[in-house]
Amino acid sequence: MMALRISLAVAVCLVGVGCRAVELTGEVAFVSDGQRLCLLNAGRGTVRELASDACGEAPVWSPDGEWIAYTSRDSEGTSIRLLAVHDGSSRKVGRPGMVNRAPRWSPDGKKVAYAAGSGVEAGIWVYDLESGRETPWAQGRPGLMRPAWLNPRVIYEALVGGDFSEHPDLAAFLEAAAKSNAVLLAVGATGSAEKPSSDIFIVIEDRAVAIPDLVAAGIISERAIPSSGAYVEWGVEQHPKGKKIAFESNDGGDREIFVLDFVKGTIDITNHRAADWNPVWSPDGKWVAFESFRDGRCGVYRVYAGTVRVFPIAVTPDSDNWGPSWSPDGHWVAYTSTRTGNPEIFATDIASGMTKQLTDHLGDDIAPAWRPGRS
Amino acid sequence: MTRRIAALALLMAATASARQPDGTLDVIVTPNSGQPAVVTPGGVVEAVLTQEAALQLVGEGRTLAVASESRTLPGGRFAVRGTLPADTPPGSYDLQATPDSGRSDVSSRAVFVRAAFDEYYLLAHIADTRVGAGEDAGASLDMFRQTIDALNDGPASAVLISGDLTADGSAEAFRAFLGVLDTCRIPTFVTPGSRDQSQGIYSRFFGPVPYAASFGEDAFLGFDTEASPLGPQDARLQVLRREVKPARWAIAFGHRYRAGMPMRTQLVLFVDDPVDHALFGVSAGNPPPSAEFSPWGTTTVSLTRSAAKGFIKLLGVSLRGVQVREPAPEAPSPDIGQTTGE
Repeated sequence: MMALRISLAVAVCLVGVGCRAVELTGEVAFVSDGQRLCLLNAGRGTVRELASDACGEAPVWSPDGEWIAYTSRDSEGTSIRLLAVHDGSSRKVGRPGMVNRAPRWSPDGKKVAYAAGSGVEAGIWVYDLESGRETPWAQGRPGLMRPAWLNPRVIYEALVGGDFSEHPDLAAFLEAAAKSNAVLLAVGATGSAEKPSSDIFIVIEDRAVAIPDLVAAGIISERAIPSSGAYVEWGVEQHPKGKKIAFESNDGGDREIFVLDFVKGTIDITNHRAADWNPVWSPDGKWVAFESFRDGRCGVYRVYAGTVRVFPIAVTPDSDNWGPSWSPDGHWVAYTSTRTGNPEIFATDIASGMTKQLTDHLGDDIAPAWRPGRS
Repeated sequence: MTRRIAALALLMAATASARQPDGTLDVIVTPNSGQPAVVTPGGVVEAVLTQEAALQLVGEGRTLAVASESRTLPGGRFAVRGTLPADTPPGSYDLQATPDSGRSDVSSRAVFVRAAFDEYYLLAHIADTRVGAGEDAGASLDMFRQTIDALNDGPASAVLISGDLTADGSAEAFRAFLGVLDTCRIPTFVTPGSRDQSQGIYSRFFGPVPYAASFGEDAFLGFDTEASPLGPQDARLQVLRREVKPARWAIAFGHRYRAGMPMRTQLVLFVDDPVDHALFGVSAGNPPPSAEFSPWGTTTVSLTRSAAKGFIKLLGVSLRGVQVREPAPEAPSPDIGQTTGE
């Protein structure tokens, strides 16, 4: 399984503009041919196969870069695999007979949250690496998809000055969240069967509450509301320091990326009539990489969250670029591109614009994920 | 790079043959008999070729040169935009590509020329033909042949065919499917099912998915419901959805509808800029709901039972929208060859 193959195009330099590029180093996990989980040495161009049962979603590194969580399909269904990169051992996680997806590591790397079930029937479960226990959160509430971890301190700060007198139950919920070691955000289904929608929920082990409900109760400032509940949220990504979240919503008519600060409020950081989606925070939390169709095809862009100024990273004619992943030092962004005809992994130095092709093979190479702490 | 190709009719320059000997696409990637172009005289046909080539229309007893211009695409392909002569007679045509050097390629039933598009027309949808290969081909091929005969004798102006087209996704099964498909006298738009993708060769027979095709003022969006959410499909779907936004009605079709379909696909098709109607097949032994339904409250979805059991769905497309024309049938007839509206 630990096969070694050499990337045919070892870091072919495609574009060089302006200042000198920072050296390309580190390792990038990606999915090849729809099922092979591979590890690319970005500097040398060598590729090592880690597993052959990957499917569906991008691999997710643990914060220390020692483990990869990925979705895996076998004869028993779709589960989460936790792979120890140093020795290739793995653990199978997930609810038997259900579709298990969207794994997310807790900031301390001790837990993995994931969604179990299909669509609006999904619920959030949390796997504890030390005990091996899997626990349903929000008491198994259905309709919670796509989890993301939140710094409990954010909840604490949001509580300061709040009026809890009329809603002791919600106050108790937030107090429990603020005191918790772990809090999740999750996109959850709302609305009716005839007109479904979604909202962002704060989730702890025994309950989930939609943020708009907290705003409606006057507990959190209405400036923080991610939407009125009439729009469909997706793509929730917590700030690397847990201070705020980026999410996407069709609030306003087309899909945009918003940043929610529980105290300061919510702003649209990509405002454009074309669709903008899939936000990814830079390691320093100052930038958000995202995908946009503002130049016709799908391109990768970055926006400075403080000024909402947008810069292109990868925009090419007659081809698409998607799935951005920041290098640990924040100098490079890896992504998938069809500029050579089929999906391959590329990386661009954001300061100089220098672009390198990292893979070159007949099948699809997609979903790059840069290993933390290795560049 | 854009350059004008001389519109010389190199009609006798090379011996033309259809597709590769093994039935896979050759110089002409699109349009083809599973992704045809349907235009009026003087209309524009957009083709993707593996070599730069002059285009001709072959059919209705004549060969017509097509004035065209091309530009390069990623992966060494060429996008060719050809304008048909204004006096092109209506009918079904093969598209012929003649490279400067080398053998010509013919894409059968790739271009349909209509005198005009009607404000109201009937659209057929069939699903899960599951044409087998080898010794298993008999009954499924007979059923598919009778389905195509029924379409040829019926009132539909075009047919959307959702996979599974074949039973096993093998080259032999695709060749058997094509052999019958090419007897159809109306435009045939296909999308793959999971079986069709099981051996990874679907696109070699029918080109890339997703794709968009115009039919007069309306547009069809064919996509792969089993495609990886990490792959290129969702970005392409978003681009195609935006391209067909001016259409009167946008109609998507694919293999299976699932509530757990990748969320990005659902956002593109049903939420952010919802298509008007979507058509899917339904698993054997899992009857479709008695009524249409609307995921996310907007797009109307209808499911069609297997063509291998004799089902053809007819939809009326008009200013009022896209509506299933026939009432729900009684229990499906097990008789081979029985076709019915659903």
